[in-house]
Amino acid sequence: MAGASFALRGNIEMRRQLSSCPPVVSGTIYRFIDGQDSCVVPMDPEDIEEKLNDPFAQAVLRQGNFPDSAQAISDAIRQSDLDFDQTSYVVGEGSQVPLMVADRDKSRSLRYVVTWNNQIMLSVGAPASQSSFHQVISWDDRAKVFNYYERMSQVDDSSSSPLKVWVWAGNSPLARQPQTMGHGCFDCHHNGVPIMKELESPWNNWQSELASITEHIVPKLVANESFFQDRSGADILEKVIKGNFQKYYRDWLDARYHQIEDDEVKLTDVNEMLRHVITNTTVNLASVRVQSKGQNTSPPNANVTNIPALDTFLWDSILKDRLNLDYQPLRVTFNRESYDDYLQQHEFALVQKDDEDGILYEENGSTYFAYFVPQVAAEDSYMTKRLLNKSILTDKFVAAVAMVDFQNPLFSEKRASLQKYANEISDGTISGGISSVPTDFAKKVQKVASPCSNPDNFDACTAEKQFLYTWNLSDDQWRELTAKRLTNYVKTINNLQPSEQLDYLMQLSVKRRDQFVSTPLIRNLFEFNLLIPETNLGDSPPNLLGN
Amino acid sequence: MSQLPHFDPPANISDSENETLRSRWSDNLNRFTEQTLQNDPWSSTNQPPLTHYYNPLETDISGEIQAEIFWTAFPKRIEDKYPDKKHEYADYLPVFLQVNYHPKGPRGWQDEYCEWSVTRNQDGKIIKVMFTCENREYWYTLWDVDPNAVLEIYKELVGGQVQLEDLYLKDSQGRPIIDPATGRPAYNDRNQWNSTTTNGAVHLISNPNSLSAEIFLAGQATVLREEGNGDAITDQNQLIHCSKYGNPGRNSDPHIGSEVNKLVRQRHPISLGNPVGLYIQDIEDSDWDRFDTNIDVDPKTLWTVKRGRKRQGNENMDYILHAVFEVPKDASYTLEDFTIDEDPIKYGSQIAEILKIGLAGVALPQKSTPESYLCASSLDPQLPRPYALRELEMLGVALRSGITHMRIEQGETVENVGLYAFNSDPDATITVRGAGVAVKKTNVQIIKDSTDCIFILTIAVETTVSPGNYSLRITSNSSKGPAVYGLLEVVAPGEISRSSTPRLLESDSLPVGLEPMGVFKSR
Repeated sequence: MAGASFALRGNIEMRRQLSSCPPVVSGTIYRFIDGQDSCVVPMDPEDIEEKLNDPFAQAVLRQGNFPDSAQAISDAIRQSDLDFDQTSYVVGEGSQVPLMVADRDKSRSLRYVVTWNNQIMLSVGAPASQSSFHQVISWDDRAKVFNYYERMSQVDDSSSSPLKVWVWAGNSPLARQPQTMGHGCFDCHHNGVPIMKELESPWNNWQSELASITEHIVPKLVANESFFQDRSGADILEKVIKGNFQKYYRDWLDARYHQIEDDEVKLTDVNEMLRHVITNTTVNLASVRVQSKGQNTSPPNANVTNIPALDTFLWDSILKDRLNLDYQPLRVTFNRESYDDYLQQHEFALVQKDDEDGILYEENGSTYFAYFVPQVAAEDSYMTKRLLNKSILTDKFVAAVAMVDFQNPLFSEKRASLQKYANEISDGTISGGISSVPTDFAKKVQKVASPCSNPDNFDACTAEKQFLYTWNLSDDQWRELTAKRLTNYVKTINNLQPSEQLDYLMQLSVKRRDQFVSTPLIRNLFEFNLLIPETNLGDSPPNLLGN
Repeated sequence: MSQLPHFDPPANISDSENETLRSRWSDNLNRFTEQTLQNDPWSSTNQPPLTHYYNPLETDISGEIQAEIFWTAFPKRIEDKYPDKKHEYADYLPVFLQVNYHPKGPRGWQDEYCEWSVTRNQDGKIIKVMFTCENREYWYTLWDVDPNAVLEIYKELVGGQVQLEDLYLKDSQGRPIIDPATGRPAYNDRNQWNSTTTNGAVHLISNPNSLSAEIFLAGQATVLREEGNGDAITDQNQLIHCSKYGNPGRNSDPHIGSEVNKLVRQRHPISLGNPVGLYIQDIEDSDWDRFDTNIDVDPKTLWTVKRGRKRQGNENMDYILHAVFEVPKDASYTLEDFTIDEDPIKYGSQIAEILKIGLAGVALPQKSTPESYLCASSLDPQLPRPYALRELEMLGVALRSGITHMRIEQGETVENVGLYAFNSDPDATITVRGAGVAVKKTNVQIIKDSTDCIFILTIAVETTVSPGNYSLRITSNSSKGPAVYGLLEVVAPGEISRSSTPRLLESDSLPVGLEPMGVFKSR
């Protein structure tokens, strides 16, 4: 949700130059599905009847109510027959930048997310009264999809104050259609579900139970808005977002899980299922739970412990927690003084820039909570577990995939290259509890490769060979041998001297962030400069450990 | 002027037909509040009497609005320290890690004002988790007026096997400690049915989970803080360390303090909303969306509120005191047949992770901007501070229960009263404010390795002394702090069923249940 909405819309710009579209008029529901539509077009009544059955459409837009501000949206929902509770949340990458660095009127990239029960979600800039951006996501329980809405003007309207209308910007399935994938709302909502980039504690940029965004640090206009004054914590929004995407995926999978007979299941869209195991369909970001500045820790100047956060170094939530492989996840402590020195030596700073890349202000140091890096998406971990729980995949299959270039749970081109085999599998079966999917996949790989024969030089093996190495291990061996590989890898970091650990992991964090801002589609989530710190560390960290 | 007439029991629950319960509870909360208003001038600098915390029994509460504060029930300290084993450790803390948390064991760890106990079947599969957020101060109050009501609730929550004797505080020989004021055995909040994560969780017992400390925290958080250069301190960790309230490292205390401070910074006087308490919040629809199962059972049907209630009308929070997530008796399935985030439920802590605990703050319309103070620091030398006054053998109960005052009738003289004090020399003078109350010091017991001591007193109250709360002061070597509010409560004749004179203890022994005071000094 918060994240999708504020990226530049280059595609719209392009269309603006190419098309000539009739002007829009108020009082009508329009459609603009970026990637598919070249103009904002009025929706047919049949189309509205068929597609817009979520509470926002039914209680507001389809009642002829077209609110033109966040407050008007709030009023419209409150005055509708929906008996929904409103909750607002605040996020801002500069929300912890102190006043001595930037006065309260400097941009802190503040936004609100407003939810009504877990059915309607609004994303809007702060102050809301001055935000021109309004995106609504609303759950259609009949179609089991999320509908996306935005207020926008006609694509080629270049007037100084163009009329804005409500457009239906598509629904969840369009996120995966070739024409619309990565466009419009789906530039960030990669799988068509609401997102929250920081989907677990400590929610680095959010008002939460662990960090407060105080009223004296935000513009007075913001401080006086009810959305701000009534703000709830990201700890609550996290639950809403998780519940929502799980609801969608559960229904999505159920629709592709056809119980033919008692012990016979037919599966469809298997390739789409496997994306979540093989690739990073999207990413989250996570930090450790210790504040980067010593003055903010408890007790003050505490060491930075339990580095790295879950699923940022290895895919522990699957390999350790779900598959129960017997290894200890990496948990490193940075000595406070060494950490502070490192940040200073390598000129870590949060830098706020204007549209022309000019520096508005900068704060030395790193993010509020330390070691803020990309994390394997909660959506992918969830779907992987669900595929296991539904017996569509086996533990060994998931391990075989996850152990391909396992040192890079994120941004692994090598592991992602295996998706081409998945793409050849659209259907599958589960007969007598045995799924065809793992073996179908393995057979396709076996056709082109043999197992990696030199485990000591595993990294040199292709993705196919790495997959087959684990896949071909016997059922009574694969857990132990896989855990051993993971243990050995973790040991290589644990065996480093503290200063080497610090250097390696900090460089790794920079590398991951660089990958985050450069990977197609994923990089759309990098909307604000303050999201990640700048540093003088080079782009290519030393390849200490085959990374 | 519109004042709150009295404080109601948590969630306004009716646990006893004995009408004195409500007045006793309200009186206890009034004392907690008045003592909070005094702040801590005995041991800290920059801890002045509070100007922006108010006692709703004494204040015009017209225009009062409620502001709810919520936090996660799963203990942050476990998540911070043992992220890879957090669910297991939160349920079953290994013995080798049982340090620095009281009481020892996992219940001591469950320090977010929510504690739970897990029941497993013969195969070790989880079948029930009971959650409580009830404060122990209330349960001690209920025991004082109606022990059988306490027993009945235990039976309802834990099972019919609970016997009244199981709940008695006993000495090392297993003999019940008799409360001279009631003639009945005293209550042991850490009894066998409420001290583990396996045998039952009826009310909170983790030391930091006390309501009186919670009120004190809310009060101290109303003091605005600033750096030496005048910059406001608002970061919640900086605040808690600067103001020295509550326990850092939790989800609850730093967050509660910060939210309260935020309102005061906007010039609102603050108090806690009636009924004052800590409340489990209902599992939300978005949380239920994270549950799943392959069996034909709706997980919502397994969640039952046992005490307290869900929100009604336009309320913004639930007032749940005790809730369980359990499979029906004789069910062919267990909780492990359900998943949260696709992870099978194997620990009670997985549910605690999605639960929120809440309290209601209340704010009056804005008034003048309060003064801002530098950080609190230790006062040197510290002033003598009376802390708890009870019949000597009940002093441990007083410290444990948070009910630190003694009741005495008009015209009554009671010997062997214990006064627990900080930073006092043995020759100190003890006085009670108001004419007609005589305090005679008969002995002093020094607590080893501390600056604490127990004065043994005889207190005589003339018949002409009005019923009410009386403050008590210690003057030590001409150093004295303020008198502590309400340590002595004078009541009308016949209100106390005193059966015996408090007993002197054997040489050098401490009252049963009395723990090292460091853990209580926050209030």
